[in-house]
Amino acid sequence: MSSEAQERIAALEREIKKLTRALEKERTLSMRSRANIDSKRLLSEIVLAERSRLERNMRMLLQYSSNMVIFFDDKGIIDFCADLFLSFRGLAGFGFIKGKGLREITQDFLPEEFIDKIEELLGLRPVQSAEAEDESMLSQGTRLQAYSHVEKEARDYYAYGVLLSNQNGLTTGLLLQLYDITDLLRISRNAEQANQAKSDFLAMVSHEIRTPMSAIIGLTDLLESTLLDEQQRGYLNKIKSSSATMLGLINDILDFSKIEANKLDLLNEYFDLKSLIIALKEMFDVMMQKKQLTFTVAIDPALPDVVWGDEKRIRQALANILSNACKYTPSGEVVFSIKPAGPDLIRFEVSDTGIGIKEEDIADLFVEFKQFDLVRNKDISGTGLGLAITKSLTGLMGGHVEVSSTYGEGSKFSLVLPLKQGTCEDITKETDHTVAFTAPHARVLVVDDVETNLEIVEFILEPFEIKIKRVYDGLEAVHAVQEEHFDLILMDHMMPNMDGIEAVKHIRNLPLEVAKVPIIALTANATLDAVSWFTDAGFDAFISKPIDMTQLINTIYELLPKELIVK
Amino acid sequence: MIKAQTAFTFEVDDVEAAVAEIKEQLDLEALGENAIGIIGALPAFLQTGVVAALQEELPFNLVGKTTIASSVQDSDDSDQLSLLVLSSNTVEFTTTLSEPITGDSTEPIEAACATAIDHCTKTPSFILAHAPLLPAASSDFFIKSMNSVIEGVPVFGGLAVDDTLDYHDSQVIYNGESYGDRLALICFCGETNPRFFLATITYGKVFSETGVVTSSEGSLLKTINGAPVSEFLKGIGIQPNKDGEFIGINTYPYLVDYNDGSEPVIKIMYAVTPEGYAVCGGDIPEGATLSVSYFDAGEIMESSEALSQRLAADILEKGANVVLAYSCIGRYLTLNYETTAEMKLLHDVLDAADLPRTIIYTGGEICPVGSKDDPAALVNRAHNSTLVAVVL
Repeated sequence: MSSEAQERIAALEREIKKLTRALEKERTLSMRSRANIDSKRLLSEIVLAERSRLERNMRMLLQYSSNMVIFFDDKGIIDFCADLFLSFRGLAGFGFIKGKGLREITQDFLPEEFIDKIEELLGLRPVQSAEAEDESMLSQGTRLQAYSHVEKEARDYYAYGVLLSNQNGLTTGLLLQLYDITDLLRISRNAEQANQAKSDFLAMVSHEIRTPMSAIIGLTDLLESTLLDEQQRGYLNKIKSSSATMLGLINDILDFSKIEANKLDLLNEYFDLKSLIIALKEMFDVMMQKKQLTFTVAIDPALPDVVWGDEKRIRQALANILSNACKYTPSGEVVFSIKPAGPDLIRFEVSDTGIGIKEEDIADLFVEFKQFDLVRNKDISGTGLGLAITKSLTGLMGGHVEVSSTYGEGSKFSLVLPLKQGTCEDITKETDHTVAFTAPHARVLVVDDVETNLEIVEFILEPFEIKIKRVYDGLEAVHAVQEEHFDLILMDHMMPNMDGIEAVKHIRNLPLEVAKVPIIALTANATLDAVSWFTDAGFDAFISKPIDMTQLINTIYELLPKELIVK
Repeated sequence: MIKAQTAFTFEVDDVEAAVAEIKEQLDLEALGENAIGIIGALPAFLQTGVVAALQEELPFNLVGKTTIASSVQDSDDSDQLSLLVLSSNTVEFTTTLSEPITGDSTEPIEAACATAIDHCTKTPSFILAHAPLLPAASSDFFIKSMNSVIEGVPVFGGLAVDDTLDYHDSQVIYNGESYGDRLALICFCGETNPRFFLATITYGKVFSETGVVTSSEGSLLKTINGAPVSEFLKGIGIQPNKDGEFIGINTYPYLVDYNDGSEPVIKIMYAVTPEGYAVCGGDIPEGATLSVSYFDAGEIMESSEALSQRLAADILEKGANVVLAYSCIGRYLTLNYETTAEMKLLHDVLDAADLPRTIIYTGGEICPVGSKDDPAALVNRAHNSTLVAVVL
């Protein structure tokens, strides 16, 4: 064979080998592809099934969702919506809004600025403000009212939107949700009305109870000034004591309702802490002695003299705890200790050797009206509000209450209060004593429809040589001030013909000489916003019944023209 | 600095012609003091003696592995011998070949690593690993063994593969010889600042159900969420055929989160045993969280495109001298009749960078991953069905 032929054969052999290799590789690839195709088919089925399942679930979710859900694409064209939205709009099918834009679909129920913001965020309209990128308007939502074809009435809705984006952060559309808040608002309104009704009821009850209470207490004071034998004086003291207890109960209920309504304001000022403690000691010395309990008051030497806080409320909270300690300790001792617990922090601790509290009851201790061991403690009186009020007051003051107890052995209650330290110079002049003065030339008009109340006021003012003129309703008061000059008016609130509020309005509209007369509200209405309510109505001061004599006299002293005061 | 040149040949049978063709493409005068040749070739090039002849003619060691396909920048057809020549005056390339590996002991791997590093006169900056495809030794086996010796040196590389149905011709190439059971290492000694890239799976392709690995033994994944793997697969809709076989199970890779702060990696299942356990392409440790994904040609091209763009941007920003990429044979085969599409895509995108590059298909990839919080905190990992690349 020639070399040329040999070379040709060698080349052909190489070609055959190459083709053989290629064929082998293709065979390998083909066999692998067959397996791939099978798995691809299976994969398609799985993906389809998964997609179908997801679609089915999504449809069910949207169909049964109580919210109306609408999807818009990145051009603001409606993509999908829940059936509920179609029903709401009275549309027979999606076809009626398919292809329509956001504005066209929503402009008759969504606020204009809400639609504008969506369009801005989707880039469908020029940016109007610096907060263009801010999606908070969408996420915070907006309230609206719209007619529902389902309910056949106008209803309240809340609309909010969420911008949708893909994994690259590009906006792909908008999810708009509407949910019906009509019933929620209705419930809220009902609750508000119920609350208002409760407040009105409390105001009425407060007034109806406090009015006769005021008379009882006032008259006992009157009676006390007369000649009484020992037996009569004893009965009178019991009447006074029961009246004071009843008044305390009413005040507790009123305080508690103020706290519940977040209407109780603290009156913070610098006060003498040690004086408060001593006053409490004196108050409870008598009670403790009656039960033959040892009452120890331990004041830490490092305790500041003057602190900033609401003295009245601190006294009230501490009195509740001391009162409980006394009530629930049949024998042994009560220790009241007061010490610093940190910078501007004071710990008031009352420990007793009383009946103690079961561990399972401690959690409910501060629940209002809750009382424990009712059989065992059947002789112990109380509404069950004291600790609830104490805890609320302590919380209001920024402090906290701690309790520890061993049933059958005793309890320890601690109040820890933040009380900023002050100095003696910070304390303003105290007026807890009645200013000594007379005003023989002062003309004071007293307006009240209850004769007894008028008698009581006259009795109170007599030592100060203040003469009064009595009238029985607001209408008479308005006439009286136009006929004669008065230096001061004491006005009740609830009266026939014309109440105190209306009377004051009329008086304030009279010529200035008459209109400027100082008017003090003397009323049994001690609820919620009483003080601000009366001062807003035109009164210069407010004193609740039963009348605190010192408060009344000092207020009169402040408001009478100085030239009429004789010290 | 590392310089790179590439060369290729389709000539399998005419050894002389093949060698001449390769030499014609290389500028041997331009090589630095140190040089190494990284080779990827069909087994036929070994069988006909082309590789051995090249080793005799070229002035540097040839280290690499058999593959089903490879390409360089001037040729994106696949049935070729691809050669990437790296040279440098500042970086040394130390090479070692391990003793035979059976999978029972890590000692041959550890010894090879220790030798490679010992031969370095400079600090090793990364290791290029060419591992054999062994039933008893997954790529994780190599990683774990190497990590115990190399102390934080990043490892890049892959497992040998071939164009047969059962990969019986898979070989590691070392200095012109081929080995079916040994590990060949190239240790880069000196500063190289390698940058690593991975193309995995887009999250949209993941089944929503996740599972916690509750029992596994190396690459045998036994239970997920307390039940055999087969139950988990059925739960997400992957059903066995009437004979109880899960056909094409390698189409459903796992995205595995090791829950150690590092980025998740892909592992594939090769088969499901009668007990319902999955034989995987690497270790999936107990406590790891996994989701099942699915591979199709579209996903491969999407992920390759994403990686190419990231590579291009990185090269534009930081500059580079060479790109070496390894991609999984699973990706090649999933592309069906467009098997070269991934390589073509990479070359098309990187053409603008105009630098030497080689893409070789492997039977398992080795590439470091960063932590979720700090991409620079690298952890050596083994991957399946992944395209990995290193830029020098």
